[in-house]
Amino acid sequence: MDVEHVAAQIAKEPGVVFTTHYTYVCSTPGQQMIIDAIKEHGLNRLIVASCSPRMHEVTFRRAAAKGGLNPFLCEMANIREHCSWVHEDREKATEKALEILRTILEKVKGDTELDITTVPITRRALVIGAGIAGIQAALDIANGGHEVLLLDRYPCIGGHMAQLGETFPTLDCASCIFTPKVVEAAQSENIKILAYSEIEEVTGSVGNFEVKIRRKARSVDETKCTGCGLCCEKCPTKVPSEFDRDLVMRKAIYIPFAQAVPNVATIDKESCRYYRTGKCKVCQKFCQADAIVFDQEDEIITEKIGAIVIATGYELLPKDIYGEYGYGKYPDVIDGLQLERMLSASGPTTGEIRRPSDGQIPKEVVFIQCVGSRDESKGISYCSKICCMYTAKHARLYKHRVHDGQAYVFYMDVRAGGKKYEEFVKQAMTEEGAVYLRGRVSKIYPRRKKLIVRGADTLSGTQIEIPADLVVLACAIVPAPGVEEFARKLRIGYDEHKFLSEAHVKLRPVETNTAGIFLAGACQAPKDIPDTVAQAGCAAAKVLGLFAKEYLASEPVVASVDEEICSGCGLCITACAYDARKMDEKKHVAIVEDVLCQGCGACASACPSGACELKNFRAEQIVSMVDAVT
Amino acid sequence: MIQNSSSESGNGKVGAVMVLGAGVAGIQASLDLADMGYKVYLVEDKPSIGGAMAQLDKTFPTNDCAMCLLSPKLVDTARHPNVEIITNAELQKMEGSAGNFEVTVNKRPRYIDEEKCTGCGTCTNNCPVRNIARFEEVDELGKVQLDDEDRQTLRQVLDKHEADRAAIISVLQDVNAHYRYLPENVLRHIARGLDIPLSRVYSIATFYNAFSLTPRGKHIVRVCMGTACHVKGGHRILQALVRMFSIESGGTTEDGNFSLEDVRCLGCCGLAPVITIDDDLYGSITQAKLPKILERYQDESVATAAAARGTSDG
Repeated sequence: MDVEHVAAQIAKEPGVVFTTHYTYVCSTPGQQMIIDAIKEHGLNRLIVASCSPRMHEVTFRRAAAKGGLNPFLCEMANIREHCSWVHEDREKATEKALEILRTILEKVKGDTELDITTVPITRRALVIGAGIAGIQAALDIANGGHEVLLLDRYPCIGGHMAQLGETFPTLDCASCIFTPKVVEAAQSENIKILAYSEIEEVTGSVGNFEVKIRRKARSVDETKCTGCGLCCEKCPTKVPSEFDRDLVMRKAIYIPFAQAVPNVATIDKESCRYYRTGKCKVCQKFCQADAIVFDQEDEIITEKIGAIVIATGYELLPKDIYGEYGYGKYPDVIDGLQLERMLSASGPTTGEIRRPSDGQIPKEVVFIQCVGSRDESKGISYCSKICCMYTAKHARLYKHRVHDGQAYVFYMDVRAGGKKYEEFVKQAMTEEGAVYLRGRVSKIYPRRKKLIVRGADTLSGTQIEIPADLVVLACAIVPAPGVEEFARKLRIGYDEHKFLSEAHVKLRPVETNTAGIFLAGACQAPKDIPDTVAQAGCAAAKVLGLFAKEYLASEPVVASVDEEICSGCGLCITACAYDARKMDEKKHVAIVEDVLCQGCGACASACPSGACELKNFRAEQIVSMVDAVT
Repeated sequence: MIQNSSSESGNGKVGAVMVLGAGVAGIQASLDLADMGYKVYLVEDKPSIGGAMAQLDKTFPTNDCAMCLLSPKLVDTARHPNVEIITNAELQKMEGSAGNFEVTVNKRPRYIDEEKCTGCGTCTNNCPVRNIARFEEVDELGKVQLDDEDRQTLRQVLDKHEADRAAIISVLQDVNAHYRYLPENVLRHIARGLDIPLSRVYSIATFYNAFSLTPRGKHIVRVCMGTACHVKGGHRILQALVRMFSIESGGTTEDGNFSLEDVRCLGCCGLAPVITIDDDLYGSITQAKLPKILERYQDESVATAAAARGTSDG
């Protein structure tokens, strides 16, 4: 296009004081030219007609500020990407460039001076969920020098990793690599553990959240309890142990497992004889520390927090979803985590694999992969990602325990993408002799002491029946229960499977759409331990990055409300994706939280009365810009 | 690698980090560190940052454009006051330990003053040396390395078949007859010329055994390994040829005169054992007869005649 012509023509427009042209305005001499021009001609508005504002708006606004102009009075007219690069006809392109400039001229005339506001940051983080993801994130933030609250809804921290036996692909014992981390978290001066607690309410915004936490009553004074375990021994009521996946019984007053942190007892009120019948108090009688407090009540505490990491983890698909596999009906059909408890040296069988029904050592074990995963008829379209690997691990560990045993694996596909993963599965097939059968199992039924597993081997095209002693189901990974309400409290999104939504699947995988709230681990999608630890570290780094700032600077191009016009209809509140719009109950007008507002303008277009406008993108500006073209 | 908050001075650590490799991983790490206030040295082997992601079209699972995702990050990196980009460079030496590394980076000459260059592109447009495909490894017509003679030949072949996609096999046959195999750059050119994906051309070229992707000899010697020939000693004939040519079956002699192949059945079991050389059939072969037969094909005139007939075996 003819740049000289554009510069000469636009100079004739009303309000234009000075125009010039230069090949590289973004270079240092080019910027100096701008600074000099502002000073020399006393300019009160600036337009740079060049490339996309994505490229150099920051550069030119900085230059404007150096010249003594409010940076938000500087606008860019994109005559490169939107014009010269896409048009062949020189004359028409020149004409279009002039049109673009005329519209921006109208915009800049309506621009007002804006100031960046700053908000202080509370340098304190909350980590929700204390499995491997939460603990890793908490440790990284704490080692960065900031205080962390580590919260878990269960009586102790550790999550699922504390239940595992050995981990793929190195077969190192989970406790050996995990316990040091748990201990480090427990001993860190910067980490405060809030076990047996749940989130009640989250208010405020990035840098300055206020969180109400319910500290559930254990009926045990945490400060007095020494974790001696005498109460658990004496308690007369037995219930299935959650930690041991119902393989053994625990008492109504219990410490989930020997290495629990915090190592204090908790009374399960639903099964406790005293709470049900009003009589018993055996635990209180035997407690030497006088720690039992029957009338203890839930306590609500309020904490000020700058950033939140969510690491609420996963659960396995509920037992009853596959009736044909008899899970829950036949005791010798178990899930992967139950086998993990058996494989664990500290588990109920001290590392031996035994049939839950009669305690015999199983000689033939059938593993079934994709129980629920990739089964759209059960509403689960996704791959649970870790089952191929842990089933291969189970098959191998079974062979390590039972040398003359035979493992069969029914699979749909073996998806072993990961460092040393494919090799690990290969070893299960070749060296450990696990028989991999490609196909689905249609039915499991008992015959005498055996379970008959009937399925198809699609590679040979035959029906097969395997008389098994034990069947292990690799159940689908589903999010921890209660996601909907939890997500609502934190104002974050979740997908159709109730996994929490990241802000961008590729570029912002640990951020949520709410600034200052980050994701780690399986709450976002099924993940193995290496991926979880990596994501937790990343979430921690994002928190540290936030805390490294001196203050939060809010973008001044935000929505504003004319309270005179606002009718308080609340449409803007529904339109806002960032939760930046609220109702001022007293005045009954909608207000804008400047820190949360991203300047998207959704509320401005939703507002029926014109009360809500985006600063420097006001309706009259836009209209005059449109008029300039036509 | 070198890490410390620049705000916490006086503990003897250096508040700068070096990131080696400027693909999306390196760029993201640099931006996060730079936002935290660390000085970042982003070192890249290639002349520009961006890595493999800059070469991608769309990205799964959302199918959004890779450049739309990456280029804002490239811009942010380039203009971030805390990031110093060192391209065309490689790590030479690293000493010290965490908190106090001393790193030597070899920045290879670009022969361009990076301070002065504005990236206008006039120099690259006017440079007379062309066709050095590096970053854009695409099969564009202009970027396929072909000499003028090849170009001429291909033009003739394509014109003959009116650049019709349906004639792909005929085109490949003609090209195969000319070169005695299908060179990769020629296939790329054909794909462009007929507007067929290269993958499709490749699938056709590898499906028919009339085509070869490796150079073949002037004459194709096929030894029948069908049941009758096998019983009558076909495999011994093959072994004899392997010894004579000093190549395995499927190979081509060093002088490029003969390619040796074994085939299943040539359909003339009555003449077993059978070999064919180009389109000529020789039955009841013995090892003793081989040298004399082969001698005929050493002759230049026969060779030309054979080449003119083409080397198709259907």
